[in-house]
Parts: sequence; C-alpha cells; structure tokens
Amino acid sequence: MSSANMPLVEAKHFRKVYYPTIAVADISMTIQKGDILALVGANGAGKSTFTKAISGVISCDEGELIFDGKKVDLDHYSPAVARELGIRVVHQELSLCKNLTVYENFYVEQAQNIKKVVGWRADARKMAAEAIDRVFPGSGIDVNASLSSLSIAQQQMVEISRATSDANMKLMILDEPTSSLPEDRTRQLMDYLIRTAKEGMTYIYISHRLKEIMTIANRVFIMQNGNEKWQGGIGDTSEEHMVQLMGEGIGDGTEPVELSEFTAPELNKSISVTGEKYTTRRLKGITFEAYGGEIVGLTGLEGNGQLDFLQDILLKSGKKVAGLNISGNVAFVAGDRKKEGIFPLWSISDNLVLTKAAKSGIFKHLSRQWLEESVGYWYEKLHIKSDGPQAMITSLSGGNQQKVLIARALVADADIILLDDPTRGVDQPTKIALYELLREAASAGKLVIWRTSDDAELEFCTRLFVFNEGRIVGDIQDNKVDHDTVMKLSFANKEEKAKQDMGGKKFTLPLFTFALIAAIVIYGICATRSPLLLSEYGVQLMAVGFAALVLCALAQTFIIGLGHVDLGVGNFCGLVNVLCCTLLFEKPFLGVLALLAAFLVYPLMGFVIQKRNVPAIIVTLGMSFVWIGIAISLQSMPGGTCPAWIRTVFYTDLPVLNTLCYWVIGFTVLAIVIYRSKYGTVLRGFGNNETAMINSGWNRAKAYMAIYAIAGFFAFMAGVMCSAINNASDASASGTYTMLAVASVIIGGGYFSGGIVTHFGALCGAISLTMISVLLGLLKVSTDYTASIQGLVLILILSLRLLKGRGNKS
Amino acid sequence: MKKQGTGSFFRKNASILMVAGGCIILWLLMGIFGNGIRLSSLINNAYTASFLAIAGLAQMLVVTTGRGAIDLSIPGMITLGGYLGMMICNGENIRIIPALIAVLAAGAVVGFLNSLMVIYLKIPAIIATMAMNYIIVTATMLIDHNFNVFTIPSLLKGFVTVRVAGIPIIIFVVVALALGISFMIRSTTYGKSLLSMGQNLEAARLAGVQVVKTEMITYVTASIFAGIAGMLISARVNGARLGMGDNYQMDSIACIVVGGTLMSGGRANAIGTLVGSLFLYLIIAAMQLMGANAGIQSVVKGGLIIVVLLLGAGSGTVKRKAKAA
Repeated sequence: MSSANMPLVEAKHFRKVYYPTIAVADISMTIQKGDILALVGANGAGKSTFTKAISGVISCDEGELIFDGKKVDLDHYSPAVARELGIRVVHQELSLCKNLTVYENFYVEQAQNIKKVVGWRADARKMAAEAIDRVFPGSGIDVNASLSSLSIAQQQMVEISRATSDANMKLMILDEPTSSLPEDRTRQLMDYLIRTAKEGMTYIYISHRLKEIMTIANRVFIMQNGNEKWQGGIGDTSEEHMVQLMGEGIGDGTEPVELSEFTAPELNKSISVTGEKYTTRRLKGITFEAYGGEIVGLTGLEGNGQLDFLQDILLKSGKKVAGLNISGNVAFVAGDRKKEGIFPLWSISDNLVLTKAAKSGIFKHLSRQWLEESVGYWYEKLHIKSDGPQAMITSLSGGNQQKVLIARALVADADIILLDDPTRGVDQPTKIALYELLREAASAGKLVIWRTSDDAELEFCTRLFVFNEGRIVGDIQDNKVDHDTVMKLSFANKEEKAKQDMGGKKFTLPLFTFALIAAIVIYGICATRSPLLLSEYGVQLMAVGFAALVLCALAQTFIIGLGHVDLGVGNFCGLVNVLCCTLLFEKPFLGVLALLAAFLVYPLMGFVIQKRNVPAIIVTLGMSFVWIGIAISLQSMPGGTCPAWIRTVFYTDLPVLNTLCYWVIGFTVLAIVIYRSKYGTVLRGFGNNETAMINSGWNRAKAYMAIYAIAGFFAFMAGVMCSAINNASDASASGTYTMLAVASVIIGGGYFSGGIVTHFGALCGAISLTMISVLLGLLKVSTDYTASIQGLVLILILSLRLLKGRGNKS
Repeated sequence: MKKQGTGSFFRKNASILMVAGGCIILWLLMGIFGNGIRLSSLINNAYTASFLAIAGLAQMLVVTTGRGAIDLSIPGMITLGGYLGMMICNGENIRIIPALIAVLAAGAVVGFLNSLMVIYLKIPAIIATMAMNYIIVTATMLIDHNFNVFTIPSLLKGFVTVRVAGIPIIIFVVVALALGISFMIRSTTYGKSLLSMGQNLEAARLAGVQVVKTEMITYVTASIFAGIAGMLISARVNGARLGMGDNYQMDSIACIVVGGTLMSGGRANAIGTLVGSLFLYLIIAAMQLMGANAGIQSVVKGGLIIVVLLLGAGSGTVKRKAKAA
C-alpha cells in the first residue's frame, strides 16, 4: 500500500528524440492517486510521445519512472510490463481488431481475466457486456457483433470500456477519447471518470476539447515543443488561459495567431453546386444552391448524409447526374490523414502537387521547374516546420500533414474545396491557420464545403446545411450560429432511430456461402452425369483428387489470414512428397530427420519475416525455388515408393466414408478449432491489427512463428497425403497447388488483407476447383478447354462476391 | 546542395548498387574460376537477361499499382506472343508489321480484360490474372494444333542477334525502354498517378487521380510488353512451344524484387529491374560453370533472392508495411 501522499506516478526528465525532431525534450511529471490530469498542448507538443514512453510503447532516450513507489526499469520496459504495473492506454488510433467480435476483442486485450480453455467465450462475453454497461449504460452494443459492423463511435466506446475491465489497473491514459463520441456518450464517459477517480483511479486525459477538460480535470499540464509550459490546478486556469499559453511561442517565436477580420465576399455565380430533389440511397431529395465565395458547413449528427453529400459532389463532378449540377472543378481534403490523405513514400512537395498533376493530361511531362513553381508559393504560405519541400511527409506532425492536404487542394487551384472534418485531432494554432486558409479561398471566390464534427467550427462558416437522415432540414444563412436551432434540427425524430441503429442486427451471409454453393452445384452436376460419384467409392475417387489441394488451401488460409501469401506451399508439399517416398522409404531415420528439418523451416520463415520486416511473398517465393531445387536434386524423375505404414494410415477401411475423407474432414475441423481457440483468436487479431496486438502485450515473433508453423504442418500433411495417394513422388507435380490454394481461399470468401478468411470456405473452394476438371471430363469437353473453363468459373464465382459485398460493405 | 544530391543518390539506390556490385563480383568470380575475365561473358548474360528484363518491366508496372497486385498472365502472354508472332510472320519479313500489330492487339485485349476484372469485378489482381492465364493457355493450345512454322523472318532474327561494337542491339533497346519507363514513372502525370495509387488507392482517388485510367494503362502496357517479349524470345530460340513463358512467372517477380521495387506497391525502379534480371542470369551462369545441376541452381537462386531481400531491408529508408488494411 502506498501512503496517502506518495505520488502514484513520478516521471523525471523524460526525453525522446526522433532525429532531427525532439519530440520530448525534458518532461517531469508527478501525479497523485485519484487525479484526473489533463495533458494539453498543440499537435507535435509531444503529448502522445510522452504517454507512449511511460506506457512502454516506445523506449525513451532518457528518463526515470517511479510508479506506485517502485522504480521502473525502463531498459526492459514494454506495453506488457506496463500492464503488469497497472498502466493502460486508450490510444488515439483505435486499437481494435475489426475481424473479431466485440467480446473477442475484449479477450485479446484482457486475456489475464479469462482462464478457461473450453467455454472461454461465455466468460469473455460476460466481461464485455458488463464493462460496456459500466461505462456507457444503455449503449445497446451487441457483444457478439463483429466489430466492423459497429459505427466509429461505438468502436470507441468498446475501446474505452475494454480498458476499464482490468481490475489491476491503477493509471489509465486516454488519448483524445471523445474525438468521435456523440455528446451524450461523452457525458457518460465524463461521469464515469469523475466517479472512479473519487474511488481512487487515476487518469491522464489528453484532449483538445478544453471545455471537457474544465469539466473533469483537477489538474492541468500544458506541453509545448516537448517541454513543460505550465502546470497547476484546474482552479488556476481557464479555457482562454490555456489557449493563450498553447499559442505563445508556437512557430519559431511568432506572435500568437489571431483570426483576422472576415466579411463574406460577393457570391461568385460562375462556381456552383446545386441540387434539385437529388436522391440517392442515402440522400433523400435534397434541394440546395451553393456558390463560390461561400463557406458551407455541413452539420447534424454523425452519419446523416453529410459524408455522402461530400463524396457525391466529388465523384459526380464532370458527369451528368440527374438532380445534381456542379460547375467548377473539385478537390477533396480528407480528415482521416493516414487512411485517405497522405502518401507516405513521398516528399511534402510531391504530396502537395498530386491533385494539380492529376488534372493535367495523363502523359503530361512534369518537369522539376513546373513542380517548384506549383508548390513554392503554398509551401511558404503554410509555415511548416521542416527541412524544405523535399522532406518526407512522414517527418511532419499530424497537424502539419493536414495543412499539406488542404494546400494540395489550393495548389490545384480547385474551384470547389470539399473538406471532410479536416481538423480532427489538430491543435488550436494549426486549426486557426487552417481557418485562415479557408477564408482566403472563399475570398478568392472559391466555394468551400466543409463537414465538421466540432460545433465550434460552425462559427467560421458563412452558411450551414443541417442534415438529418439524408435530408437537408436546415439551411441557415445567418452569420451568427444559433446552436440551439442546429441541435433541434439535428435531433428531430432521433430518439427512436438511435435505438434501432444499435439494436437492429442485419443478417449477413457467411463468407463461405458462394464457395459452398459452387462446390455442391458442381458436385451435383457431376453426380447427375455419373451417379457413381454418390457412392463411397466415387467419393473416395474424388477425395483422391482434392485431398492434397484442400490441405494446401488450409495452410494457405492461415498465411493469408495474417495478410501474407505463401508462394512456396505447393513446392513444399512436393518436397515432403519426395522425402517420404525416397529417404523415408530407404533410410527411415534419416528421412524423419530430413522431414523434421524441412518442417522447422516454416516457423523459421515466420521468424525471419517478422524480424527483418520483409515481405512474406518474396521470402516464400525464394523458398519455393529452394524447395523444388532440393526435391529435384533428390529425385530428378518421378518415382519412389511410399512407406507402407503411411498408406495404411490413410487407406484403412472405415464405415460409411473412406479413410481419406475422414482425414480431410478431420484436418478441416482441426484448422477451424485452432482458429477459434484462445490463441487462435489472438493470431486472427494479428492478421487485422498488429500494433494493437503488440500493445496488448502479445509477442509478435511468437505469433508469426505459430502461424507459419501451423501452415507448415498442414502443407506437410498435404505432402504426406500425396505420397499415400500416389504411392510415388513427383517433385514438380504439386507446384500448381500454390496458386490453386490461393484461389481456393479467395473463392472461399477470404480477403488478402484484414484477417478475413474461413477454412471451411477454403475447403469448398478447393473442392470446386478440382471438380471443375472432373465435370469437364464427364461432359467430354476437350481437355484443351479445361484450363480456360477453370479460369472462367473462377472469375464467375469471384464476381458473385460483388453482389454479396454490396449488401455487406459500408 | 550538389554534394547532398549525390549522397542521397547513393542512399536511395543503395540496394541496387549492391546488386550491381554483386553482378560484378559474380562476373569476376566466373572469370577467375572459368576461362578468364572477359567482357563477352558479361555481355552474353546481359543479352539473355534482356528478354527477362522486358517481362520484368511489365511485372514491375503491375506490382506498383499496389494492394499486392501481381500479373500472373505474363507467362501466358509471352507464349501467346511467341505463337502469334511466328504464325503471322510465317518466315516473311513483310509480315512482321501485321504480326506486331496482332501481338499488340492481343496484349491490349488481355491487359484490358485484366484491368476490367480488377477494377469493376473487384477480383484481386493475383487471382484475376491467374484466371486470365488459364484462358490464354487454352488459346495457345488451340493455335498449337495447327502450328507448323519453323522459320523466323530474317529481320526479326537480325533484331535479336545483330551486334554493334560487340554488343547485341537488343541490349540497347531494352536499356532505352527501361530509361523511358523510368522517366515516365518519375516525371509524368501517369507515373505520379501510378505511384500514388500504389501507396494508397483511396487517398489517390480522393486526391483526384484518375485511378481507373491509370490502372488500365498499366495492365495494357504490361500485357503488350509480355507479348512483345514472347515474340522476341521466339525469334531468338527459333520457334514457339507451349509453356515457353512459364519460367518467366517467378523470375519476373524475382528480378523486380532484387531490383528494389516495392512488392506492396508505390515504388518502382526500372533500372533496378534491369540489374535484377542480369543478376539472376549471372547466378545461373555461375552455377552452370561450377557444374551444379538444375536442382542446386534453383536452391541457390532462391537463397540469393532471400539474402538480397534481407540485406536490402536494412538499407531501405521507409519501413515496409505489409499492406494497409
């Protein structure tokens, strides 16, 4: 027990340099138990870096940390250690896995609470439901729902509640937790924080929303350029005070930025966007007119058509669309910088010029001089701290990247500038600089259409469109914004709808639907031509054809589930086949050793890939040359004999179905069970959001090695089965399995990224692909056409996914 | 300023310079342990590598569109190009032009269909082009049934064999091609569009990049290159046969990786692709010199691809991220 006046956190002289930027120069901070310490500062002030350092996400260059009376060994510090100590972070970027359900997300981050191996799901569900209810009562979030089906706000709620379910937690760090929460949920969160702080929980609360800070914090710590600017009790400061402090000394000692006088310019009628009962799936008969010189704010509750409105203007510009007229060229500024904005491999200059370049002819020569002329003026105007326009965009802070994105539209001299909440997570001085840019654009006769989630920004618009369920319910021309009216319009008829949104669960087809249908249909047609296929013997005959491919596909499923592709799986299967039928047959002991060694290369590949951060596709491509090379060296011509015991294992008489089928089913079930187990769930998590899993304390090396080992096991068994089936080996016969396995996984409903794969789908996919050639044989189609019909069926099945995708996505 | 320029040149091209160094070392070693160091052995390998380089440039363009795109229809297109070229020429110089037009047209159709599948049917490129490859294989099989041309027009044969100052002109042509593509990528709208969509498709679309047009041009160009490579390979080996393009499947990927093109898209290196293809052939030549069989050659080739990758990974300035989800 720590004594009452011993601080919970004592951080001394933290320093972190990302050459050439000093992110944190020298920060010392003391936090008492039960504090809610607000950490504020402009973007790039070092808040995130500092909190990452004290939570073990990054290692700091200098510093000393005493937590709960004990000195922390910062040389051996990691998120896992921080969690042990009781420090937890809710990161600004959501750290959830979208391919998992809500409760699975709880499990992967709170594994210490779930001990059961069988029935762990029930415990995880309970934990999730309780936690969400504790912080956000009445949220209506279904813990069984897939995370991807939740709105951003709901995901944020899951993220926050998840962190609170750790009984061991002593310090919770919230980095911009309310940036996407609606107002009522923000209030619930604040109530919860205040309530638990009274019970002794301690918080570091990072936010740009000073109003919130004034409500909940008891202490304020202001950072600037990696240093402490001010700290004190909440009573000693105010919103104006904080803004003033943050603004001082920003931008190389220039004056604090003040917004200049602005009068709405004359309307420029040559630039316009007009709608006449414009209707789409999301927008319901909207009629409006907007002209150059206006700054039109789009407001209303999140997801009521504002974004669709923006995107339609972008996508439909230059096209003839009923009900929507756009004159002038359009540029878009994304709010989600990482996902929709910047190009990380490029310099600031290239990032700035892209839209302008894209507007020129596709084969236009972009000379260096043209580039410099295009960029120069705006680069100067942005006042970005950097090594010049040729510096990498990634060397800039988030706020400065946002400036570049807005300037990209200005460089392109677009008439209509669409902004999608560009100031989310941007500090006050940068915001003001952005507002200035927008006003300048409007003064120059351009039309600015601006979706914002920060109601304070409505003040800077000359006109407001209030959206409600895809309609424009308010068109406010006044200079003075009446927040009450906006709120009333936004919330009209909303109470019922909100409930429906959260509770109503749509039925979605499982991923493997099309693969299953295809497999059954193709097998069925085959069976009508040759009823033998329905007998046990017929099934065995078919199983002989697809067994090895199915196993390769199961292996590939694990790899693709991680976002990788294994280009060597077929040749590996071939090598195992050769080893079984040559070495193992002739010198069993040596054979076993060789097989074991080959298998062990798989986890080793996983290790190398994660250790050096190299693309898996190349490592496995290289290995495919190695596998086939060894196999050819051992056996240049097909031949060899399979050891009798292997044949016995796969060909013993069993009732109902033949042994081979049982094995295929058994391996598929095994693969599914592995993926649904506790650690399997973690492995799936790695396929979707690696950073999150690492921050939750899971070991990346272990996960990669586990996945590659599992995949290696299935590919290995494919080789063994080949040997049993053919009673001989052929080094190059299995090469085609590589791509067919990839195709099986994709037909089976899998995607190359995001950890979305199904083993059952892969099984069905592999069966379909094999049965196509059987079908063609039965239909007496010339073998010349087999390949092309396989190709066409592949295209057809994957095209069908579009239909499903349309109902499922967005 | 100038000095910094050269410094950054070395930093940016570290991995390619390393591979180029590797090429020279291989060549010297071959000379020392073989018949003496002779420029001709380097030139001969560069000659063989030229054909792979064309396929490699095609692959590079498609890979650069990002999202794990790979064009698996390149081998099929090479074979088809070979068959079409041979069949239409029928040994007569005057028919080279129609043959070339036919190959271009076939490439354009194949590439266009590939891009349609990727863009509108949203089929992952690796699968769409694999399916397309199956279809092309059938097409070439059908041609093969009535195929009985065994002579190459003298002009075409000359194009792939004639040497200027001891260097086959095809090498000059391929180098010029690579320089041209390099220029296209660096300094034209098309190049900027290609690199931007390879880094982040959604961001490129929102920034106003004509992603559909860019992707179509890319796939069409790639297929045309593959077709022309096929025609030239046929001229070199005096004939077309089924499966003649199959070796280029993995080799075209290997040579661009060795050459510093990013598999996840967004960064391409045309000159690197040339160096990469030369490197691959020098390895094979060195192996053959040492009397290694085909199996060992393959093992060494695979091992070296991984080694180059691992060595290059350290010098890269940007962290490789597998794929943006």
